[in-house]
Amino acid sequence: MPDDKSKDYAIVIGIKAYVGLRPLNSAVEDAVKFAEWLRRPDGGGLTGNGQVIPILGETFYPEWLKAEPNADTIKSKIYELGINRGKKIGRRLYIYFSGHGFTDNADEIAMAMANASLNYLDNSISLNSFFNLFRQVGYFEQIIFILDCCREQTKYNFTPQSVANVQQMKSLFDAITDLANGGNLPNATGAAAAEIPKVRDLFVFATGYGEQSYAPTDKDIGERRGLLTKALLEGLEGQAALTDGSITVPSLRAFIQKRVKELAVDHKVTQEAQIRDENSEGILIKEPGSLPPPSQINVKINIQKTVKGSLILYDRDKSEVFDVQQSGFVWNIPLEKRIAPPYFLESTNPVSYEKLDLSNATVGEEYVFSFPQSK
Amino acid sequence: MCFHFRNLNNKDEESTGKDLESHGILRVEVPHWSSQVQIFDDSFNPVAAAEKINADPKSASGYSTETELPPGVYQIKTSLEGKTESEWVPVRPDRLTQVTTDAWDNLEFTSSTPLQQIKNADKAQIKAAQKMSRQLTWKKSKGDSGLFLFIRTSNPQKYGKTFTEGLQLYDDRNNLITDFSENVGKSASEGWLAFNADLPEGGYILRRGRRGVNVRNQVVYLCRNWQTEIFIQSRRYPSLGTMNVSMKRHRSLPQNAEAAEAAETVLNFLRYKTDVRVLLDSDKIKNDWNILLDEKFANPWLGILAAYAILKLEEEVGDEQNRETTAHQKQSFQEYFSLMNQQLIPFLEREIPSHPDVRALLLNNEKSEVLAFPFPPMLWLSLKRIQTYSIRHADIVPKNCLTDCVIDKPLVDSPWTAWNHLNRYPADFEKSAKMKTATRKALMPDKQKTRNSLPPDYGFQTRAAESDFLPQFQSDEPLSFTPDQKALQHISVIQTAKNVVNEYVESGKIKEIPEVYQLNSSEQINQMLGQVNAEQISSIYNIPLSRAESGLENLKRQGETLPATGQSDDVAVSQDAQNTVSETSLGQAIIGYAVNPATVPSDDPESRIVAKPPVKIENLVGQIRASAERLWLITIKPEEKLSSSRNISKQSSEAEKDIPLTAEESEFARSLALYLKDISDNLLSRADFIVVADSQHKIFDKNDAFLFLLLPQTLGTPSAAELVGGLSGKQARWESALASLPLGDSEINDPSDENRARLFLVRRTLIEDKRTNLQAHLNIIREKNIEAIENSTLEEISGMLSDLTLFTSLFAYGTSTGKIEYKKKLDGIVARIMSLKGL
Repeated sequence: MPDDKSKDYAIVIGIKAYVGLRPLNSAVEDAVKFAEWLRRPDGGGLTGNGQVIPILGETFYPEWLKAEPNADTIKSKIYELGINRGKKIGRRLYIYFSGHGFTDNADEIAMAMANASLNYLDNSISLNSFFNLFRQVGYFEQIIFILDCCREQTKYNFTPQSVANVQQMKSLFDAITDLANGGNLPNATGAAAAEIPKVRDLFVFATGYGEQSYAPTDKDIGERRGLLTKALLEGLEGQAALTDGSITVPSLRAFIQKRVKELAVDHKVTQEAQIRDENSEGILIKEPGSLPPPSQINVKINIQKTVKGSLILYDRDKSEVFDVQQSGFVWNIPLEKRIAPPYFLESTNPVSYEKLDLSNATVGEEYVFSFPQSK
Repeated sequence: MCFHFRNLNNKDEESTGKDLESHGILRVEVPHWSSQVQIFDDSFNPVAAAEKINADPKSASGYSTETELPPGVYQIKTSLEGKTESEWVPVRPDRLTQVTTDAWDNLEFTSSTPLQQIKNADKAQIKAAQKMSRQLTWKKSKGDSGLFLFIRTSNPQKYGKTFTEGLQLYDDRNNLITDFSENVGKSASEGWLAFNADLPEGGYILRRGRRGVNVRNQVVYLCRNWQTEIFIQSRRYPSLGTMNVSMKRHRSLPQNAEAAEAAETVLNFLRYKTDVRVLLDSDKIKNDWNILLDEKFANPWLGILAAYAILKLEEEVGDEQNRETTAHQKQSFQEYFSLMNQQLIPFLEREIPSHPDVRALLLNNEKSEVLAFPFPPMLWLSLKRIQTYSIRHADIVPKNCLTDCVIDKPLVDSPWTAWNHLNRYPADFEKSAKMKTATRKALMPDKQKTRNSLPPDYGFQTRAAESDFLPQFQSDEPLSFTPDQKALQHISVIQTAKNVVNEYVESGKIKEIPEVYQLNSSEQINQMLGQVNAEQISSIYNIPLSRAESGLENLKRQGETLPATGQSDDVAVSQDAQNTVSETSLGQAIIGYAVNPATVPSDDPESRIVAKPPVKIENLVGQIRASAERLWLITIKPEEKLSSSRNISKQSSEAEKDIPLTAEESEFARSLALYLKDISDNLLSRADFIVVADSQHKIFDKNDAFLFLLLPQTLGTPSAAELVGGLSGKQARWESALASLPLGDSEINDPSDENRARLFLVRRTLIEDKRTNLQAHLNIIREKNIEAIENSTLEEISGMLSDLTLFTSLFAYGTSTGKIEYKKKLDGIVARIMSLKGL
């Protein structure tokens, strides 16, 4: 049974224009690109009205404390989702943020709002407040946070704002749930709370604690793109898919971590995405079969004359044997291109092993591999 | 390759006790016993049960981990000291795949303490550390405790001249004790410096900082009758974050290498915030637990580390939401908890009761009142613990002590309590007579430099210039607002104006607003502050209760003694209310809370459902105008776009790719932008424009609707400077025009745009406090001959705004293939808006 996405929601925040901070020219467009993926039936599947809630900041405000989006804008959008009703809202909530991010502690990110400046970072939203609200109150079964922002420490003292009063919201939610279950107030809230299923979550951060994230100009499109968003969208478009077409949290994590690093190297910067998925059990980004099968590569293995016995190709739990004595020193074999795992080759005489990694092979071109590889 | 296969035989099966017919074994040799190993299957799912590190004499490091797995390809991730390396390996049935330590070439255990068994040690340094730790280098020093400090560089040839530069030791009042230029043992060629002295028991500050080197302060605490040994690694300059510590009872005792390694390992777990369960579940710790327990009798510092590791474990095991813990692990961990409470803490309390890290361990809800921490502890985890308890107990962190100052700005990049610059310092720091000028420079942030290092400021400072009361901050001056008495008076006026608007304007009774409104500002402030609870402020802002209480008291005192207007600048502000950033920030927090206090939940859940705030015209205007600007911008030619954003940023001066629009799309965007602009203007004309001006007729508060009235009439975001300049000019014209109006009702032509024949009705009220001679004017302005709009219409428009933002942004920045759909959606929204009544 495919997941019912009609109850999925997304809050997509992109802030380009800051009153007291450097503008981020990619932030709004990155957010919109992600929103576009979310809305696609073959993407996030949030096709209904109001399922994707964009919060964008592109233009300047003359009164900087009132510049939007600010913390109040976010709070009002959270209320618009329906948290004030104290009931379950839906299955999954995506929270995407592209803008300036700061931190003064490894477990927190302050998402700077349009009216923030370096010495007034209180005009920011606390990631933990989002997390606490949605983790502790069962509005959604799954929460996916994607933060394409820096996590730099700042020398200024600040306290990011909370999106809502979690205790108040939790007590309201528990009480309403309790009423719906036929309970009597005010003593039965514990029972109601116990029945709320565990909320699962996934955090995708552009970078590690204390580090910067980058949005260099993409050579292909001539526009700035956040490295995380670029990698994320590539992964979601299919490059993070397993062979059955599904995108799982682990496959997305593996792809993003690898790809962000590669993109950063291409642009001569250092950036490593950080993904916290220890509580993501049950979150499936895309169902099997929803993506085209991976492409095949024609692999030509040139076997050195020193190999006398057989060559064994290991692919996951299967293996295939090539007898050098009978078949010669060239093994042509079609293999699927995939980000991982690699294939392995083992020669029986002399005993030797090689890893065959096709993640960077080009579809449609022959991939030539020598066995054993020269040292 | 870093792995090899071996066929399994009966012996292996016997040793593992498993039927391996359809499985293989993966053995991973680890670079160090404190390594973490994670194994993932070919779909990147973690394979459990690969976490335990076992002793393995065949492994190069002496340790490995072994897992039985079904055939397949697996990814192994090994982590040590915050670095991770990964490797894919195959596992075949009936075979053992052995991954050797060669796979983890870049992972190595290092320590600041020079130890035989580590790679970053140097024989000469090991020998020097052993020797120098047992002899005084500062022979005239006096005190009842010992400090041995050993700094070493791994590259003496390159850094031999600089590796100790900028390091200084201060006492707890910031008096310089030494800059390590004398009374030390040193070998530049071998790359080490040793300092060994007798000093009085107490807290000290190690500071690294000089021109060109970032300032970093770190806490050291010395206990009576104990020698505390500090080891620091250095490259070009000392790196305090790498500090390792041990304690021994007598200077003459030799160093214990195993204990130093254990201390470094626990510190690594705290430093890299890794799962401490892996550490405490490892064979090494379990079998050699005596390192942390028996050796503690020789080195209580290990006892402190062990206690914090166990506390962290308690936290992790307690957080069942996060991680799974096996029943076996739980039982084993339970033993640690008992051990800590029954043996470890009593021992530490007996041996080094004055140590702040030990006293922090003693904090609990019953005992907390009797413990105070004027000087911070060495470990950041201890500081965090103190902070948690200080929110509930005012005596734990006395106001303005060093702990109180540090608690706002700790660096969290190491396990140590450390800071760069503080927003404020204890009073006795600055009074220190012995502090040298150069030292003081290193301590206090260079203001000019700080300013220059800030990125370009795009703040709009006009409003701050209008009045000095506003809680706004110019971005080159941290938190310039101080909630002084003048500010409190202005806030009382704004609050009064808000009450008047709520009472009369919202209910359509503008005509009934009195022409003169009497205010008792002291009473109003007291009423506002009376709703504030110091405990809640402390808990919301995570600050010590002592400071919240004092901040609140200070504001109340100022509220009670409001001076006559015009004298406020002369009012002597108490020492507590001086412009320390922290006080300023706290004052705002309290006032913010006073203006919008948290509501107490009622027992009836239905009544607790938070009502949706009413839709305000100005909110709709802002969002519709933003959509109009977005569409307008994509129709502008690249050179115009550059021109219009030339002052926005350096980055934006780079030519961005022009989004290709067909002529039809461009025309659509342009006409829709103009249409949306008309809608926003139409809505704005129905709004109430509310401004409050002071006795000099300067506007110091205005609502968003009035702000939009001052914005340019044309689309195309001007530069920040143009926008602010235009706005200031228009506001000045409004100020002059309003100043000439009588109290009560009058009419006025739009002073900001003489070309537009717009007539406004103004209801003008004097708000005055006779006791303090405070005067201000509330002006409620409405456009004449414009019909009001129904709330239901506003609600309907509000319901469309999310889609309007979404589809205008998708049309502007989305893929060209989607534009047809987005255009259709936008057409639908426009049709819905056009069908609304009253627009």
